[in-house]
Amino acid sequence: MDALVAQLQMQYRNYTVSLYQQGFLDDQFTELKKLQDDASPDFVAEVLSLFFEDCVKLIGNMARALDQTGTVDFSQVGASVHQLKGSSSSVGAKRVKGLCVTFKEYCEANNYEGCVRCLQQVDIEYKALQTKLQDMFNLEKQIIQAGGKVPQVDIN
Amino acid sequence: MLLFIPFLYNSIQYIAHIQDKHDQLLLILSVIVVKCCCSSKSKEEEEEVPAGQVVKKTFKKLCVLVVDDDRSCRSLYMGFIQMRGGFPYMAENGEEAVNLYRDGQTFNLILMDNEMPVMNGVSATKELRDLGVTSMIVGLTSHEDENSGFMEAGADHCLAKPITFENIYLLIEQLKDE
Repeated sequence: MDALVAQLQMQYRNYTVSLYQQGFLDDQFTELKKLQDDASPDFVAEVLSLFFEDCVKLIGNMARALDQTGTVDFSQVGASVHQLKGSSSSVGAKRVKGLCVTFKEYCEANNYEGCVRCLQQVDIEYKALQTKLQDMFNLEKQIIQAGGKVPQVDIN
Repeated sequence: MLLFIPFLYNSIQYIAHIQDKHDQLLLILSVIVVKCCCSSKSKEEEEEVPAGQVVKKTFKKLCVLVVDDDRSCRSLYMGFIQMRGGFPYMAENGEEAVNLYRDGQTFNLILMDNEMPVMNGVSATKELRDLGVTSMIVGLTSHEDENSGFMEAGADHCLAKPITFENIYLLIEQLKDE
């Protein structure tokens, strides 16, 4: 059993580090992890769940605003992008945040093609992050079920 | 619309997710919670002080109002505040924050986002100061351009987003010292 726990813990460490190295997460996610303890073991998952729900809502708003036949209200698109940029920044979703920066520039330039491309990319990226984090949370559960503790991962 | 109400009982947190049709009940509940936790006088305040004796007021309950329309941000700040021993309360926009004060609530610290629907942070800060509110107000900014608006409106400080645990820690320590 100890060997299994050790193996899962190493897998978890390597996977978590890879998420940072591949740019999915940044230091703000580390801040989020600090808030998770025995009293609130699901804190990170809960906050991220809210974030992903907001992604669905905001991306929907952006798509509807860009889908207007006639004149597109880029300020309306930009408002949703700004919101997504803020929340992605707060939870450490680095790639999503980076895309929002570019997206916002296209909104300010009234660049329709650029906005549409960014919208597609943002949709792909938040879903990719969601899948990656779900795998990470599943590893945490496996460690706990095997009788071990989820290790603190030193990113630096 | 989701509204978070942290309900505190011996450090146990209860967060309610309620749909639109229950907003009225939520507002009533939140006012009751805030009244119980923030407005009640401490034992020292209720006791009579002999003339000429200086009494140092201490905040037994450090109440922090988080004003932000983003749910994940609110949850994050709530976690930071609780970790530092504070009691977080929520408002989704500037108007809600102003209404809490109009209803007689007070907080030691207000963390105020700027871009929010209904009423933004700068406008809410100005309204609160016009009401005579002296609580510490910290503007949460997405870019430096927002700083001057907040400071002119009467904010005490500005913090650049994303907010970290250390930001909240230093603010709360400052308030405890005061």
